[in-house]
Amino acid sequence: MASKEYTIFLVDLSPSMGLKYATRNITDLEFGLIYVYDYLANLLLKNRKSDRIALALHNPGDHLNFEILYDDEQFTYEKFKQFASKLKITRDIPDNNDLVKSVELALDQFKSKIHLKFKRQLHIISNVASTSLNNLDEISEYSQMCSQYNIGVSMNIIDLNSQLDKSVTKIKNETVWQQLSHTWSNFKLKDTEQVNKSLSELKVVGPRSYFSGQIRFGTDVEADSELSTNSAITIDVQAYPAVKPENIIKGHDYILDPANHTVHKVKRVTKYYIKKYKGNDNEEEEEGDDDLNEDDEDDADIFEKIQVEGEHEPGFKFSQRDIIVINRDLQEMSKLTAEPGIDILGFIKSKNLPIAYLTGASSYIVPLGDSPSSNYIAFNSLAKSLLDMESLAIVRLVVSSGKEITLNALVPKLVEMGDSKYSYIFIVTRLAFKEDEKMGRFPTLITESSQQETTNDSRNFPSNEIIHDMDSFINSKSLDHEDEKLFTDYISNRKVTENVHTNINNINIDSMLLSESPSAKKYLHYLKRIISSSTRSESLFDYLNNDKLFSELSSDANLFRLSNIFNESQTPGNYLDKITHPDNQVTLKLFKKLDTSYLLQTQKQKRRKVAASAFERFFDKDTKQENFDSFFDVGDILN
Amino acid sequence: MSYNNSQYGAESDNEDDNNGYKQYEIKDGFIFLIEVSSDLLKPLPELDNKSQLFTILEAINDLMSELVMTMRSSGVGIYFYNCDTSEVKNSVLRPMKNSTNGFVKLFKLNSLNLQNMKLLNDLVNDDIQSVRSISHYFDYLNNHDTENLPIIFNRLLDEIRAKKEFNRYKLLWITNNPQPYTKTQTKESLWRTINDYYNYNHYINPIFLNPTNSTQPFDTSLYKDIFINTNYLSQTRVKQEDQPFNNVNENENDDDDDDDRFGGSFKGYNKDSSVFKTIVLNNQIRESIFRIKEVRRIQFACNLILSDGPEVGGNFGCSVKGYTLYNKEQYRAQLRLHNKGESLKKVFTESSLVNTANGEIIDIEKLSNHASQEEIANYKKKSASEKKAQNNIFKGHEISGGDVVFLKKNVEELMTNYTFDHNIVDEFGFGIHDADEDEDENGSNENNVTKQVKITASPYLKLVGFRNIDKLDITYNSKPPIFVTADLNDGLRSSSSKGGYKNSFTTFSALYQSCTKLKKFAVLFGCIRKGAKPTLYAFYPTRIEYSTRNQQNEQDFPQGFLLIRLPWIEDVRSLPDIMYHFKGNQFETDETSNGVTSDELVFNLKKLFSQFFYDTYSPSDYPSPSLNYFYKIIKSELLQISLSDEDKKLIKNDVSVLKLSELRGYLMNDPNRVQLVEKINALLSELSHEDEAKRKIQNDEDTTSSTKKRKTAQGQSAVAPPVDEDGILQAWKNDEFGKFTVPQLKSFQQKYRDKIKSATKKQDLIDNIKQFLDSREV
Repeated sequence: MASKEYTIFLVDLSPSMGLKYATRNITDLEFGLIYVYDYLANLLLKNRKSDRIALALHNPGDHLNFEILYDDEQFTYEKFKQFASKLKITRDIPDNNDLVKSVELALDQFKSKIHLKFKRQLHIISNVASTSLNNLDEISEYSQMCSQYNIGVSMNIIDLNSQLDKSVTKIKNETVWQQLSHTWSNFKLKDTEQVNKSLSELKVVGPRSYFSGQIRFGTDVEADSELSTNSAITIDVQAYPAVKPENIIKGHDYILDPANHTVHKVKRVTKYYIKKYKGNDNEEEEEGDDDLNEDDEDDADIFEKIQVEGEHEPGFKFSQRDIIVINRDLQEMSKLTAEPGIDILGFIKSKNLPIAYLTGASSYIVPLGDSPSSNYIAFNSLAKSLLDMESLAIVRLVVSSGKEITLNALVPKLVEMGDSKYSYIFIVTRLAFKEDEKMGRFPTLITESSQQETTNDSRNFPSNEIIHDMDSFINSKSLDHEDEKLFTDYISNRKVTENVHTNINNINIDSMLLSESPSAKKYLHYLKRIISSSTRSESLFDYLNNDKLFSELSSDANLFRLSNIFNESQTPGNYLDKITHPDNQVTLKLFKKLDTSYLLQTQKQKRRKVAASAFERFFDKDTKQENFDSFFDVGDILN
Repeated sequence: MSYNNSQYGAESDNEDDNNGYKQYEIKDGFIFLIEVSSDLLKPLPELDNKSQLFTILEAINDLMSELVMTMRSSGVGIYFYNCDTSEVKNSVLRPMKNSTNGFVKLFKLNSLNLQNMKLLNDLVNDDIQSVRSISHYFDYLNNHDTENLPIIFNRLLDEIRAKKEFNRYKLLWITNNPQPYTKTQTKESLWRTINDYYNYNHYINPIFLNPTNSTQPFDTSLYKDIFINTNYLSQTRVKQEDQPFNNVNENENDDDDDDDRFGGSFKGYNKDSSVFKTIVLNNQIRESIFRIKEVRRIQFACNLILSDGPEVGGNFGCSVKGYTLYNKEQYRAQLRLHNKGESLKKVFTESSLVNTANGEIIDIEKLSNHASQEEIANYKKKSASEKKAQNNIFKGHEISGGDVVFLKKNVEELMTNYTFDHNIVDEFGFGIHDADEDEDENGSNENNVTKQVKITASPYLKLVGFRNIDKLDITYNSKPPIFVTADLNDGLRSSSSKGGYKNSFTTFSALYQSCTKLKKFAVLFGCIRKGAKPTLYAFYPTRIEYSTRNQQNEQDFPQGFLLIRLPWIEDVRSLPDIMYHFKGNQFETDETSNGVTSDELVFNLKKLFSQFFYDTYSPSDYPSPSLNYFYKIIKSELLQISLSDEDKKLIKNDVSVLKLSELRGYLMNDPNRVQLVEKINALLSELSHEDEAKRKIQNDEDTTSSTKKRKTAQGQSAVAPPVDEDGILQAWKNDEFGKFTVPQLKSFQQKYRDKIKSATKKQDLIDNIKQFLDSREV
């Protein structure tokens, strides 16, 4: 659950921040502000009313010019522009006031509303290359306040980890801050370059339980549930969704009014109407419920639309001919009600359950939060016994009375909770029912030499030589290290525990593959970039409406490649290298032997619709038989 | 510069209509043509003293009730010939008009409907319940015309042609007569008729039942003559010669199990077709009838690119197609109905865009009055998003303060461009490629042109690498896997891509064989539909560990790969707080898990559970209880039949409850097992006594700082018990609503949702409930 956040950025505007580091073409200030702009743009996009932002400026000169910009209200685009205008170095007088005083003043800012529930964070942006520091004794007094109110302080030092020449002052200052970070647990030191690489922030969705009940084994389903539990095993559990494909940012439709430089939201309004046929009323009645068929022909001339706002109910088409109104009574009546719970039907070796049967989104099953530890032990022992037997349980899950009765695989797992600690949980996933089966018939991929029937078969099966080369190809592109431990019984990722900052150390191929969605990352990247750079323009509208924006944005590389689809910051070089620098000799060999090449469709092949009736096609030898998969146009074939 | 990716967000909004798939519904017309003979009507011991005819009709009856759930748009017609109805009173069979004697129908080909379903169901059930045997209605017409087939097939074709609502027709011709005709003239006449079926793309599948009294196997040669001497064979040959490229796979010949008999258009048989070799035994009748519904449901078609890097780029790959294997079948309210007045009326919808600033409707279909005819015609062809752009409507995001970041169409396309760059140029030479530029067809209409593949626009699948099969983690399953096989047309006929890879089948087959042999699966990245968001997939071969049905009587999965969606980190949900904070439930791997588990308990659980193992799970054993019950109730409502309470009982409608009850029976049958359960429960109760003791001590210590934390941790995850009416009334009297949680209040509101308005804020919810209670007081 996202709590309210109160964030202060303290930016060092000393003249030294205006210098460019040897290998960079932007100033230290610009480099340090990448994170600030990103954070603020993100905040604007989140559009949350409760968050608070303050900008503190360390603007030294002959005397300290500490300035703070804060309003106790939502951060808006207007303020964003105001911030941007302030984030400039205005003096070139050598400074003699150190940063410490400003840090204290910034922390004081938190004091006024300290009783309110906020997640507080101070970010300091500096290259610490100015006035040399002596000691930080005074600031240590704040450590008490920070730990009491859980205020985090993060110091983003430009070129902290750089190996290149640093001034004596900078080296000395870095050491002083580093010492502070050792003694003060809420104080974190970060290297700006690292911070800038891992800009995107994981959205943590507060877990919401959707089921609270029991795992049961051997209960008497026909008897009253209360009575039968003695001779059965029950464990109190809760279910939480484990996975949900996220749509990071959803936009709306807006209409531009270029004359007035305004934008307005466009909404979709749906009108409900029935058709009343003009003229002959009998025609309509002729074939019973024919107007219930979905022939949405545009025969507007023969009927008029009568609006029926609010006067309609959901209907169900049992078959093309049988249609029924599903009113609330019928809806309730048609639900098969069953006692909620997770009932074990039996067990099966994990390898005997085909993954093709998994038809739903997985959930976590955990012990009931407030249950006695005996319940925890029962839960854990159940998980352990199944793990020992390399098995899973087939269970019947009823979330609540009247909800769908489903069969599921209940799979035991170990979760890494961070700090080398583990817990048992179960994963529950819906299994296919009979009606879900949609089996078709497909060509075999392996030739069955015993069969003589293949005389007419035109499929080209690969030779043994080709298969051998394919083996080499596959081995050359293997992502696994042979000596790696097996981890499939473990869940280990940086998001499974709500505390995303938990460091899970073993960075491996699994953590690389569990990256952020590249499409969402790309979209957000552009969006934030547009917001940040718009501050240069007089008005946001003009900036967005100007065609220059496109050419500005499109100057960068934009396409996906194997090297950019996974998170860089957490990808150990050897994995990515292997993927992006393939040894292509094996591939080339196989490629030549298989004689594959990319062919373009010709116009003729591309034609989608059947041009003539089946009969005409028969005589027209030039017309290719349409591939049936593509579902031909019904109107045409039936002419 | 244009980006070949205008189909942005086709996943999220469907207003763009170029989505090639799902556009047409498959509407199958299934026609059963059954030859009546004295053998067909004879009760047989191996069929529980029922006749072959009964078995056929029972199978069709079951097929229809399944089709109504899974393929609602299909239709069924049942016809018989050589059937004598002259002696039967009130026959359910009706003779065909203008036709020969003995040609009758139970019901003509029509969309699935209750009347027909009931007719057949009554027929079958009356027989089962010995009310009236099926043989009552059927009699073999002894003196039928032996040369009547051409007339029957012609008449049936007329009947089929009159029904235009289907787009595929499949005729199942069931016979146990090895002598369908005697004269050459008849045969020649039949050739012509069968040819007509072919020309209309109507598919005929003969099913030969073994004659009951004959010791000789069914001789199908006369049937072979009818089918083979029609034009299909020569037609097939012409087609193959006509191919300008090496793509003879186009005609998937109907010669073995893996054919496309029902999935594709009717292409005829050859002399080796297995259809002439298969004589259906009595216990296979049902299965062979059910196979008619086997349909390949395509999900996507795209290219799978296997190579990357400077030397090969994306030149190595194969074209693939994805099909549904399993999907979640559920009931949805599909339409709105207007129920006032004399009859039910379908409610249509019409949506329009409205400018919220002034309430004006924006008609994006209309061009200004000055537009020329040509302009109007061109405009009509544009996609919805292009039309919107022309009307100054763009996607935008509201940011705090009320400003809107709107994205002009080209900017948005840039942001949602999912084209893949195969890195064919040197490391530093890449920039933006125009997606169209490389795929331009420069006068290449005559032959297929080989192209260097530098980049690929969506849809595509791109190989990342291979992994050992034991590394597959299905913890975060989100959707049913899609079955993927080679595109036998090398991607050259698919509408979704501009080209494909030569020898796709060979490459795909080699990939499959090597993966199964080496026990590897592939990791792929890509978008399987144009404009869909790119996803990571596991590409797992079938028929190896974790992907084999392991079922003796059922066919295994087809050979190919399962495309399994892997999550992005955003998709992964966190565990509840309490799991993280409750350190007492965590253990270190180096230790045994002592303290959080009990060895004795684990030992006994294993001892007990090991007696309850399945070898396999087969979906076909488990019809969905909720879905079937829904259909049962709706059916009874439509037919105005009242169901008895017995009929509505859970145990009658839920096969899983039956299994649970069996499990219970098996458990209670053996004293050892009962004892084991008792022992486990005794262990657990011992543990909870210890627990209570511990808790007491802890409670005494636990007073100050940690209580608050615990409370919040629990408050989030523990669910408060639902409140009953009394509790609510009590609270109402004392005005103590504040003590309830929002879910508690919500659950009460839900009970009376007609009368109490829902609300998002707790206070609003309380006010609404109060208002309701106050009104009731009066």
